[in-house]
Amino acid sequence: MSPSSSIAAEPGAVPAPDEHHEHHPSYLVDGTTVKSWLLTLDHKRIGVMYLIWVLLFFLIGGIYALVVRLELLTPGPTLIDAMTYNRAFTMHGVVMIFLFMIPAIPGAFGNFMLPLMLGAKDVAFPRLNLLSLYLLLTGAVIAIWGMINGGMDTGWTFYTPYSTHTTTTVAPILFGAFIIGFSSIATGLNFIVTTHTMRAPGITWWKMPLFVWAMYATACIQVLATPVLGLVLLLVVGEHIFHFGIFDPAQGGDPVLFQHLFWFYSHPAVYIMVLPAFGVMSEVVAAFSRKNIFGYRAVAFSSLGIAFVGFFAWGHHMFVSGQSTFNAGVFAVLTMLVGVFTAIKVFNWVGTVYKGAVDFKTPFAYFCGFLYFTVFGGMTGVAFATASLDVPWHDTYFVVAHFHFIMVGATIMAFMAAIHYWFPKMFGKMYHEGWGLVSAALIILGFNATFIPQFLLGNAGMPRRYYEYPERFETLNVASTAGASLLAFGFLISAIYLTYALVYGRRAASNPWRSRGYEWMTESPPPTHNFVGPQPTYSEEPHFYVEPKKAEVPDAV
Amino acid sequence: MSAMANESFKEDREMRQEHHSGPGKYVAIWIALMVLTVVTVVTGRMHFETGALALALVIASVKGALVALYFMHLAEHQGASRIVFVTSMLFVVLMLLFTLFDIGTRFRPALPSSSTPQEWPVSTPGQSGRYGGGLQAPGTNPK
Amino acid sequence: MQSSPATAGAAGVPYRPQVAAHFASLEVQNHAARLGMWLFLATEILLFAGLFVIYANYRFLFPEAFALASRELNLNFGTFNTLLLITSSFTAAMAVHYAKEAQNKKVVGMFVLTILMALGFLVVKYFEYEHKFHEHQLPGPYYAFPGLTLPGASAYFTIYFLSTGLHAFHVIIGMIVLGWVTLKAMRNEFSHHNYTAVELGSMYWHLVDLVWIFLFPMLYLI
Repeated sequence: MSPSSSIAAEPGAVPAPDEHHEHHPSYLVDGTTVKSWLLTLDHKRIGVMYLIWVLLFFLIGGIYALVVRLELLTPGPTLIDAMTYNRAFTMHGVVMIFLFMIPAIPGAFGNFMLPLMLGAKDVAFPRLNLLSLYLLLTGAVIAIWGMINGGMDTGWTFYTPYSTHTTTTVAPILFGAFIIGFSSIATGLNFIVTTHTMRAPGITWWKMPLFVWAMYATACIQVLATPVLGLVLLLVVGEHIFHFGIFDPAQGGDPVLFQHLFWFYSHPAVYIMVLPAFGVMSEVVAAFSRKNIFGYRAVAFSSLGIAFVGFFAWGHHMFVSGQSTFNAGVFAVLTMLVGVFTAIKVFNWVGTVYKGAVDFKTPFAYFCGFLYFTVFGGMTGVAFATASLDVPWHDTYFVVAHFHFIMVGATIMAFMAAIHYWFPKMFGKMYHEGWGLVSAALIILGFNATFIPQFLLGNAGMPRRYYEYPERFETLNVASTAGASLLAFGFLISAIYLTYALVYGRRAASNPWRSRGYEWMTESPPPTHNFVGPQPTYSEEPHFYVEPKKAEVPDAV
Repeated sequence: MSAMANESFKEDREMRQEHHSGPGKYVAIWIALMVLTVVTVVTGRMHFETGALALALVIASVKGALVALYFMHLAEHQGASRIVFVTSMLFVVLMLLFTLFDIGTRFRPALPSSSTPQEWPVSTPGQSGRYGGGLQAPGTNPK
Repeated sequence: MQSSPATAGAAGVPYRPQVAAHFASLEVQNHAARLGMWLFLATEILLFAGLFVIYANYRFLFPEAFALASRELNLNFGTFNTLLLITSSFTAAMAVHYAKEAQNKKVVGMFVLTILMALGFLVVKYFEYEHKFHEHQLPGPYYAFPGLTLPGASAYFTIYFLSTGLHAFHVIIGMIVLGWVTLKAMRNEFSHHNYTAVELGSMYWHLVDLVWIFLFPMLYLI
């Protein structure tokens, strides 16, 4: 991993400050060969590998996003031709959703933290865990191969009948997504079983950290929804090759049925992306407010509630696609229930910060951005749930801005918060706090600058996925592209100081945030088997801060 | 042994208790399944006017329940395994119901053109195109 | 499937099941394997659910065509296959029973019977498919059966081939899984303390049976 730590593996090369380290090396240095990483069964190493790969996919998706934004800088053709533009926005969606958002937090931080938070030595099925990583990579290779050799122009939703008739390379990309689905199922299955069977003595269901609750709810969705997507993707590939006509209206098929099946997965998939973010934020807000989480059970239940209700809401993507008005009404009402559960979470987070002793570190900065984006994005979501409002907004930039507020605004904020919050835990190093705050500010500002103009554009009627637009939309599009550049710049700064910290960073104490999360009870970075000596006992609740105004354990910082 | 979730103890105990029931139960279930198969084939061949599908589905559900409960030991398991199975069934039903609601109550011209859909028990305004604009005879729209 | 990674160990004469280092005890490991298998089966159920939904919707849209097309299937073959699969499920359940009593020879016998019946199922299915190919009762645009030209008949055969094909694929996977467990039984591995692999393998087989129990009336009987 880092060159400085590989030296530390040799006995006596580095004066170990902690006597444990000599007998129980941290997972980072316990085996330094390439094989010991690639074939590891250690959930922490798998988590780190996931992190590296999803960051790479994030970069690829981000490049596509910038290409799209640059193309939209001027009303006419700017950089690429129309077909390349269609491919670019499709690939942006496919990469960001299937290769980044869905595996990012569960794969990287879920894998790393879940067993630590449960006091377990590993996840229940370590081999399956490794397999899920390689399934993801296999799917990614197939999909990216398809993108390079032709690409696809359907948008990430692959709506039939266009997707079964387009001449672009549909089959490899959809097949790649199909394999990635297996990876997602494997991760979810593993997490559910781990949560059921691997909890340490003392960790009852109501003493699990909220991140575990969120991961558990996510895993339930992954297991129940992903198979349907797998089937649908296979059917579309089959249709594209053989033209069976199941979803082709010219042959008596019903394309709306495809949308039903597709959104039966893809709407809950939104919660696969956002629930882990909620989990991260529940951890971060308690740790940096130095206060017990307000309404622990309400937050835990609302994760399950979102997972459940999320399955009853898929029809709101289809208000204008020919679905019956009866269904539209039912789905509109059911969709709003999601808002209830999300609001429960938001109120509880705010209640946690209230009268807490806020330590305004980088993760907390991201929390603030997250709260704002979630509320703003969520409120526009409730507006969208109203079928009559959805009709004029449908497929405009208003939708684009809305789901980026939730997807980027909530999930990426949480992803960045998680990286910063758990960086010392994972790598035993500290990053530069000042740069952290600067880049957080840039990212949050750049994000607003990118998507607030898009809300206005959509409200003015600019449709999404169009190559050209009338001149009156140019100012706002320029603003949006400028914001995207600022956003990219913010991420670049993060990448630089985090990489720097990885190599030259100050050595972190075991618990630099004085967090009471269970994962911080072991050393940072943790030893290979997570705990040294007898297993710790977990008698308190998670997120247990006795007196908010006092810092209890002044052991670090 | 101390580091064991309570669930696993219970699970283990249940699995061991089941050991005492002999193969007689399996034979009984097997015979029941064979008989039910014959029944469903015979009633299926009669091609009832109404309720043929419902009867076939009820028999299939009973058969499925027997397999799940006794061959797959769901009857002896408490807790998570049952919840997993029941939840998956719930979501199958959910997916079926909502798509059928849609196709039954949809604005008729939006269905595949060659289709001859069955009558839906309840008619909804959206079906007939009350708000659909221009597809009914002039003057019959409410506004 | 991958749910029992730790049960595969060296075959000693008094076989001791291995507990992977991260599990507290064998009981926890078995519980985890079983729960994992149930979750996996749930994903299988939802995989087939997509096809059931497609079937239900098109049946609603094309009731006459579906009723007439289903009568083109050979009910005798279908009934025979159903009885075969149910019996194979029964032998698989008996294998679990014998595994608990450490009668490994009987476990092998039961699983060999199960696999043979699965093979029989596939052979019958092959003859059915051959007949359909011969009659041009094929999916979508390949459908050219002059006896039934209602719209929707080709959709019926698309769904027929998709669902029975996916099911047959699961039959093959199930045969491989059961074959692997049979090899373990030949090495006398199973006893009262260690029968999880038999149980999980036969659970998978029961699921294959369960899916067919619903596919059969849907496709052959309506």
